[in-house]
Amino acid sequence: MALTKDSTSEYYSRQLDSEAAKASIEKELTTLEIILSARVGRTALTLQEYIQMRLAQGATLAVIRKDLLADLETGGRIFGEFKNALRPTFAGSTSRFRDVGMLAETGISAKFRWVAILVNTCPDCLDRHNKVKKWAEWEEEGLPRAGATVCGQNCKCVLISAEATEIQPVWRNK
Amino acid sequence: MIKVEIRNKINFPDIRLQEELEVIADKIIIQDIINGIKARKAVVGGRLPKNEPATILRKGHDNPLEETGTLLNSFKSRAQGKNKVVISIMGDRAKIGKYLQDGIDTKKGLKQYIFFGISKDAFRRSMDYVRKKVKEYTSGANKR
Repeated sequence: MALTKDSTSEYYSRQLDSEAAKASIEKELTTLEIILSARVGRTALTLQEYIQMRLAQGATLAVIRKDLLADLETGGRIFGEFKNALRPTFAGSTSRFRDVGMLAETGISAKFRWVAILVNTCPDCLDRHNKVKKWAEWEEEGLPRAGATVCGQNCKCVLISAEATEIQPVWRNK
Repeated sequence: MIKVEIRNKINFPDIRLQEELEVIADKIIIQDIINGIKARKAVVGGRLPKNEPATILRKGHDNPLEETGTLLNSFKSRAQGKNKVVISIMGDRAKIGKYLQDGIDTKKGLKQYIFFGISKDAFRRSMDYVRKKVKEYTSGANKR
């Protein structure tokens, strides 16, 4: 059977998809990691420097201690990400297979929508929710449960084929 | 007249917890994983599955995930950036470890050796460590 230009390019595109899926699965198979991270900015202070700063501003040691311990218990602005990263987990790494499965099914050239469950969703995931990007772009930004978001391995978001999640207008009949 | 100004986007300083993260990774989480294997405990609670009879015969004992000690010595942590520590399994045990943790098919069904992760106990001890550090730093003894 003679191959037309279209069928040849389709063949190579399929090959590329399966190779990318294989590479992604291989990466998942060989990676077992725990990522501990905390929020950091360019002007980040150590815990001791922070206490010194608060002391210089007039706060007492008792007040600073109370604030820090309350933040640690509630997972607030200072310790929130740190506490999330420490949550007992092993599910994160295995759950990533769900996304890789989607890549194998949909193909690398397709676009994927980041879908958050919108219940206790972290600000990073809320920001990504409903955004559509190519797999490679999401990989660059950080896949769900890859430690790129505040929720870390506890992330419940999924990447779904953008085509499958296209919002259609509802046509109402009288 | 009293003027009130509501300010948005106040920039609070971020806290760098790199030192604390490194101690937690090395002294608490990695130690917890090693102790868990030695005590045959899974990180999610419960016990690690028993070895297959053929494996027990070969090894001469029934200590799951223990034979030459290579796996126990292969847990390492590395600092990444200013506020990040990654714990991983080094060398060829990374692939084997992942394979065992994901589960192997046996006649009796899927056997999972869930040994790598953060157990509730490790979480509790990590939190205790940070609490202790906060108390230590705010005790006045560190005041410069």
